[in-house]
Amino acid sequence: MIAAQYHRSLTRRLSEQYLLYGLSGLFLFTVTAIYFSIQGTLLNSLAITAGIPLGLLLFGSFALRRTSRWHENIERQLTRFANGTNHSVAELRPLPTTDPLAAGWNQLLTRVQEHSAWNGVDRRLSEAIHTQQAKRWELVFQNLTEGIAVCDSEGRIIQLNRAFATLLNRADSKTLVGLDIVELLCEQADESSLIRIHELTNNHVSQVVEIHRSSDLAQGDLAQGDHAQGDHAQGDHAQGDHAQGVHRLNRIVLSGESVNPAESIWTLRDITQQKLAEKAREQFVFTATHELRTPLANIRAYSETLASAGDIPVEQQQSFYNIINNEATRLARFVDELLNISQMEAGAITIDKHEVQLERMLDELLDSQRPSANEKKQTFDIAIAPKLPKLMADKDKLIAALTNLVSNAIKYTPEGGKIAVRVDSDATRLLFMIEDSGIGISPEDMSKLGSKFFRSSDQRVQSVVGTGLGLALSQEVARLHGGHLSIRSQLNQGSCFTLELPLR
Amino acid sequence: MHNLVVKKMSEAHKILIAEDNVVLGDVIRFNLERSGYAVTLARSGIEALRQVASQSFDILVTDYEMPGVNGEELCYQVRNVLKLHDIKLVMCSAKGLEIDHETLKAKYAISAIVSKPFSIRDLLALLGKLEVKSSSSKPLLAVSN
Repeated sequence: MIAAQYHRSLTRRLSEQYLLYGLSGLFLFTVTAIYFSIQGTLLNSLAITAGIPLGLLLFGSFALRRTSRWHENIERQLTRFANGTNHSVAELRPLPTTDPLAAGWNQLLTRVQEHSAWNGVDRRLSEAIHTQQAKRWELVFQNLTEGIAVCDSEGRIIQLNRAFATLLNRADSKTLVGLDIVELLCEQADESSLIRIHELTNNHVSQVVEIHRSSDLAQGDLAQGDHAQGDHAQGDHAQGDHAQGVHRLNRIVLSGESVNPAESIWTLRDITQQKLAEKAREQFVFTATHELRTPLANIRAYSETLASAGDIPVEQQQSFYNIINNEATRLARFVDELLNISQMEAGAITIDKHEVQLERMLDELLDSQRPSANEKKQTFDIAIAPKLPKLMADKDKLIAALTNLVSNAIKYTPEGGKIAVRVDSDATRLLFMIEDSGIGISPEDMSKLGSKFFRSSDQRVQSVVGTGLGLALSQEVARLHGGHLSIRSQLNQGSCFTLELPLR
Repeated sequence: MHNLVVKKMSEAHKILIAEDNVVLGDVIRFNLERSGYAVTLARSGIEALRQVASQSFDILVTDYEMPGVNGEELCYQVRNVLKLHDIKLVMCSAKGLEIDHETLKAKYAISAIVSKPFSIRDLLALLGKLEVKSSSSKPLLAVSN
């Protein structure tokens, strides 16, 4: 641009100079002609009149040629520069003369070349930065956990990242370029999702839908599914069971100057875990409601019965009152457990460690549990090592954790069974072992043990009142003390729960 | 007097209660018996299924949540396998929104679904309103006479 302007102005200057030489020649010719016509001799006058200006013209044109050579050179260079690219700067040559114009040109050239040298550095730098940025963006694009694909107006994939391919179960993302995205998505989706994918394509606005992977593809995808019982009566309204392989698909229609119309970005995200978490939360609410409703139902039924019927024998009345009392206690315990669990969830459960009088604590604990064991005619063996080390612990939480373990042992051991509580220590840890000859735990249940609200579907477990929260709490208490809870069990043989606390 | 007995006997509908919650089952039986029903109490779904298959009842009051055979399965067995269409079904449930009452009612012709905690008085009123085809109570009447 600048070069072209310079070129134009220089050309103008050169033509002005030619005009100047021409005009001076004409002026001299005219002056000489007038002079000799006044003097007389026509022939002489003609010869001189023609000769002098001719000589002048010859000299002038020689001088002009000498000057204009550089002009032409400059002009040629400038034309090439004006029509060329950036690289033409390198092709500009200085002129080997001291002519003021050439000197000016050379000076200009030095400036331009200096400038262009910086420009070059600049350009190379900006190119490097640009390449670096592009590489970084490519890296970001490829490493996003969200699958992204860019499609043309026909819905064919132009570009996609690894996550997109992985989410579609394809190992190599390159092989997917050029394929129809809707077809690709539909291959993987279950029937109910197909219509949603098509809806997405037909709309010209950005939209989000959930798609479910067809179940044969989702097999084995999840470590823990739901424990839905597979009987036909329940199958019909198990709408919540669809958490396996759920993807969130988002289509964003691009608009802007730099893109073709109807180009679109498709994003795909695996929301299976999120769905499972939602389901767990839902399950939590259902179980909590159920656990609240059950004792409430009993309380209501018994109190109503007592209130409405005046002719109930006193003994029976008494037993009804006891039931109401028991149910209220159960309700209160559940609320306590719920509170503990919610504190635990929020990370708000804190451990307030003090020195614990172990013997006294154990006496209290076992005394409170002994009646239940006696009621079931269970033998209740206690073996506490004679010299226990000093323990720093949160007494209340520890009692809660151990009470859960002991009362579980009693609950899940049939009448006449055996419960053994042993407390021992070595140099680094204190061990509370609660062993029973109870119903035991199946290997399948073992893996789910300790997850909140989990209760075995075993008839013998179901017949006992429980919330499925106790063990989770015991585990948490052990963890907060820097220890842990380990479980050994054999179905129908018995279980042994060991709560291990470090001595520090 | 005779009239009263006949009335009493003809009202002595046979009710089967399927409830795994022992204390609740007891109090329902206590109240239903006091109201003149002939009550059989099954402590589990499978026991209820055995009872309903071996003798006829006018009304089945079942809990929804029971281990093994649950309330819904029990209703399915009664209606679709045992093909008992005259027996009135009443379901008690401690479940909330996770079961669709209307769908369930339509599916197994359940007369009513009551949510726990329910009022015993309301349950009795509801049972009183059921139009029971008293065919199954005839043997009871004959035995009583």
